[in-house]
Amino acid sequence: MDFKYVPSICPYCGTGCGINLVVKDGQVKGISPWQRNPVNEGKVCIRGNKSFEFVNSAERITTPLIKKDGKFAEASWEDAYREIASKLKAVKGDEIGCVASARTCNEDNYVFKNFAANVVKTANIDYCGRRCNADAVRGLTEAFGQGAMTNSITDISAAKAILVIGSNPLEENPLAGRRVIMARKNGAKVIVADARTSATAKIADLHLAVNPGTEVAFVNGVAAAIIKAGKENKDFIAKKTANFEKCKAAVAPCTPDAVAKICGISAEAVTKAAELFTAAHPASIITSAGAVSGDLIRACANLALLTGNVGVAGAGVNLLRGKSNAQGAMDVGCVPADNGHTVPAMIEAAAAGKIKALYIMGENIASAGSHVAAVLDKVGFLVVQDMFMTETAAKAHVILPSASFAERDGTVTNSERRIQRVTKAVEPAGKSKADWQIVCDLAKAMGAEKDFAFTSSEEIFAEITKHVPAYAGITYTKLEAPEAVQWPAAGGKFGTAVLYADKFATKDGKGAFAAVEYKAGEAVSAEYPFAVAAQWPMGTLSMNTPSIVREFPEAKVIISKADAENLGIITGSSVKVSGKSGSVTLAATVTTAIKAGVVSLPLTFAAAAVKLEKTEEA
Amino acid sequence: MSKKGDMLYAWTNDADIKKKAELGGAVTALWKYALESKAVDAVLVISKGKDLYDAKPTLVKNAAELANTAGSLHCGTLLLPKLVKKYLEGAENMKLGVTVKGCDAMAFYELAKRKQINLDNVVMIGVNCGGSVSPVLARRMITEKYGVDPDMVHKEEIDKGQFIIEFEGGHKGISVDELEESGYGRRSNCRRCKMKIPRQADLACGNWGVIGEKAGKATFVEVCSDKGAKLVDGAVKSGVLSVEPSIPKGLEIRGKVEGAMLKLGDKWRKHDFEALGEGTDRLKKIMEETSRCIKCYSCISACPICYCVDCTTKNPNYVTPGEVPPNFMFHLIRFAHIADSCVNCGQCQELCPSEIPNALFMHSQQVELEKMFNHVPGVSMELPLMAYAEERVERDRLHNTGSDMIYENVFKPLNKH
Ligand SMILES: Cc1cc2nc3c(=O)[nH]c(=O)nc-3n(C[C@H](O)[C@H](O)[C@H](O)COP(=O)(O)OP(=O)(O)OC[C@H]3O[C@@H](n4cnc5c(N)ncnc54)[C@H](O)[C@@H]3O)c2cc1C
Ligand code: SF4
Ligand code: SF4
Ligand code: SF4
Ligand code: SF4
Repeated sequence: MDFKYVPSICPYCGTGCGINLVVKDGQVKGISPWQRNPVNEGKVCIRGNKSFEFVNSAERITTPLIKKDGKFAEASWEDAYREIASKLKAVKGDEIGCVASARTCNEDNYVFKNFAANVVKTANIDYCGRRCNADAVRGLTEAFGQGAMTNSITDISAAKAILVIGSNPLEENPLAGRRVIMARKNGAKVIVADARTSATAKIADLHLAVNPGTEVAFVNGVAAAIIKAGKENKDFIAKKTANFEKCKAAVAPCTPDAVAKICGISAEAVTKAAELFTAAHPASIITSAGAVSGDLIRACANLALLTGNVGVAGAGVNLLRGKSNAQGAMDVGCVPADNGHTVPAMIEAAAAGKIKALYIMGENIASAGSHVAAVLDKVGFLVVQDMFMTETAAKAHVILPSASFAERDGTVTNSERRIQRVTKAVEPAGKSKADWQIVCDLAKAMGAEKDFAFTSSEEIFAEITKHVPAYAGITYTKLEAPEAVQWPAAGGKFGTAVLYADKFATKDGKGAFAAVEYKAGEAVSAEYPFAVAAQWPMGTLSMNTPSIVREFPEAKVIISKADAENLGIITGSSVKVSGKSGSVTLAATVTTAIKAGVVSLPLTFAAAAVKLEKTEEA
Repeated sequence: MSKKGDMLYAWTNDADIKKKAELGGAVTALWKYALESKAVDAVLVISKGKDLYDAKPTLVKNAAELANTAGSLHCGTLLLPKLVKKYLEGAENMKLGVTVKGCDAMAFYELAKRKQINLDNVVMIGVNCGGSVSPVLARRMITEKYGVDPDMVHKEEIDKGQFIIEFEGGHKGISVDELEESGYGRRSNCRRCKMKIPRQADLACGNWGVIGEKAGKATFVEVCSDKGAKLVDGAVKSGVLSVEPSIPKGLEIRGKVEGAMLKLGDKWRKHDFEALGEGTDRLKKIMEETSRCIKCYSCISACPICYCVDCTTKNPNYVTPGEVPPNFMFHLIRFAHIADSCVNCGQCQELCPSEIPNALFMHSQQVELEKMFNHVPGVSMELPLMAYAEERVERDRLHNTGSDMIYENVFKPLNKH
């Protein structure tokens, strides 16, 4: 009998927790704590705890599939490659869109990017990250110079005040949430702005139920109150920043009264938040999925600069990432240059007939909503590389089966820029292969032998370090230590825990304030009286993990008790939710943990205001 | 011929083992003999993973690989019996040797009495245990309190009340008391632990009591069972181990150190339990702390008392699926099912992402229940009330009454027809 522990990294969220895969007789039988990992010290959330389940799922796709007459037929790798090669060669480069993945390894994304640029010759490359904060990352780059979390997950516990906005770390990035708990145990004051009384809001010293979509107004209001009280860090602003006046002018209209009205909270709450945030140093700002637009992150960056909260442990703007490698996919370059399309633009172009083929690796973009799904049905040629028959894969012409994280080597980069090793523990399921291998084999089948002659993920990583400056000097050997390396590597033995300790990485070395104005989104109206707070979605991995499906068997519409009583809705009622773009029928969960007038819906339902109708039980 | 009750100094004659061993290498030498003589099919021990802070369970079948598993890792906070249950079929289908700390030994008994492990197939060599330190905390402690780069350390040990490190260019010891006062040191459950010499194992090995010329070179072995005696005799006969009777003075010192450790355990119990308050104050504290729970199920996965296939925390009548934090019932179920048998192994606390002192809560209740019912967990095969019924049988029985709800079955509420 063969029994061993193989250290690896949880494949779910961007916290990047270490786990031990328990391997017996060539099968992953479970996960065990890896106490030695510095990120999570052996602790995990339910997803990490059950992250072996999908590896062994009977639903895994184990052989290449080619669709014939609307049905998938098993195919050899050679046939699949031949089919793809002939179809892709028949369309022009700029008619092809390539979607990289926030949950596969850096090595996969790197060769995928090269495949797009050099084999099919398209500028249209992006990764799921539109939903995973690509715009927020750009905002961070513009403000500070680097497109990533300024600080480390561990050092959140050193904060003395924490503002959590557009984020629910206790449920979404729980092992980052743990650091908030630790900070609070050390005396930090925690401010949470969320229309829901989330698990994170429940531990807050000050919970502000701001209306969904008004977060920018709230952060601006806090900034304005700080300036009004003369509590801004004048020395820091003078020495280390630029454009303060612009920011000051932009936030000026956000008086406590104005903000109170927009956000649906009291004016005192705004001043109180400003007081708590400036009462102690360092203060940390945590945000994540809620920072979709890029504006919120700039508003947060302003607040951090204003109070001198950048460059020290326990401070910073900390963007927690949804998927395990959202950071890395972007680091290695899977984002469009100016002449290329983002994922939403690709969908639009495909709808207009300008994109004729799509190659999607490890993303289920159809889950973004019915409009995307409809476009995928029509696109001329669709290749999907995945472990499971997702909604997207089901629409493909060719499916290429990917190996799971437990079945291959590679690296992933977590939110705090830590590049960690994923280690092969067992053989790939069926004929599946590591994503990088599939991409390289396909490239070779299309005549690009030379540039894709890699024989290991380590060789690809060595190549990455030559082309991605932040990764320079890092080797697999260096990543052997459980601390691994936080980029930029030059910062110290294990890289850089806190960015901008000396100066910012912007051109002039200064932190850039920005004039961020609150722009009201789609407002609630008499017709659509409920504002929508987005729910963390179930991803491909979760949907194939029975223990997680047991907890969240179906998407729900979450309604406040007050509203539910008015509408005669109880938990379990079937409710038709309608917005401008369409409607959906969901089961209701009635709770006191959401503000009246607000409902929580799956992220995939793209509407900011909706109406609710109780329907007949199905 | 040795027998139960013997107190021996033991050391190995195997050069490879001697090089790596903590003391006399008795433990590893005994395993070598056990494997070679086929007394066991495999041994489950702890060895170094990525570095000396990374303790990793290792299953060894080839005696030649054993030398690498010698030595004590004080950052090894793991609990092995639950792994034996989960991944090694509860030792049902093979004979297994396991090196156990006090908490491991206790957990073995608790799992065995619930029929989750077949102890007839397990040989336990116990190691005395003064406590273990969580690895990441240990590294921070070495950086901050010792001023030493933890990667330069090549040996750590706990001796004479000090945590001592050897590193390139020197060694340094700081008293455990001082470390613990400043928030470092042993896990909080270890501080309260009173299973210092695991006599419920077949042999109990340690360094306490090895004095004179054998100090540091021999392992003190207390023979605790006939199985243990046989193993020692066999190992001696095969030449891999030498033994001699311990010096009376050594035995006396060992007794004194054990007594002092037990007193220290009592001191910490008093300290920790008093801080919890009593009655409703205690309940309030527990409710407040557990209200941060994110329902990761780690406390359940790791607990050696939890073994139910249909865990009641997954019964939607009690705990709503998907609700985070779960209602207090989630924790009440654990308290009700486990508290009488908690062995204070600390897993549920060390692994809790919400920093809830679960082991403290459970241990504080176990101590109270022990006063009431005299059930001492982890030392014998005696059953606590909760383990009388077998899960499957009892659930089936309840199910056949038309409801698997214990309340309905026992109290038969009137409105139920
Ligand atoms: C955490 C810890 C604390 C200890 N504290 C004391 C003490 O206070 N007083 C005392 O007299 N003795 C203590 N010991 C026991 C002592 O260090 C020696 O293990 C024992 O004397 C046997 O020595 P040896 O040379 O015969 O063992 P070796 O031949 O070196 O074999 C040691 C065995 O211990 C196993 N082991 C190593 N680390 C762990 C771990 N973390 N958990 C479980 N098994 C492990 C190894 O796999 C191996 O099987 C402690 C041991 C540990 C692991
Ligand atoms: S916090 Fe994220 S990385 Fe950590 S165990 Fe949970 S899902 Fe995995
Ligand atoms: S609980 Fe007791 S036996 Fe277990 S590691 Fe701690 S001190 Fe040692
Ligand atoms: S309740 Fe906690 S301390 Fe007690 S036996 Fe279970 S895991 Fe160990
Ligand atoms: S380990 Fe902690 S967070 Fe996880 S279920 Fe147990 S008490 Fe809750």
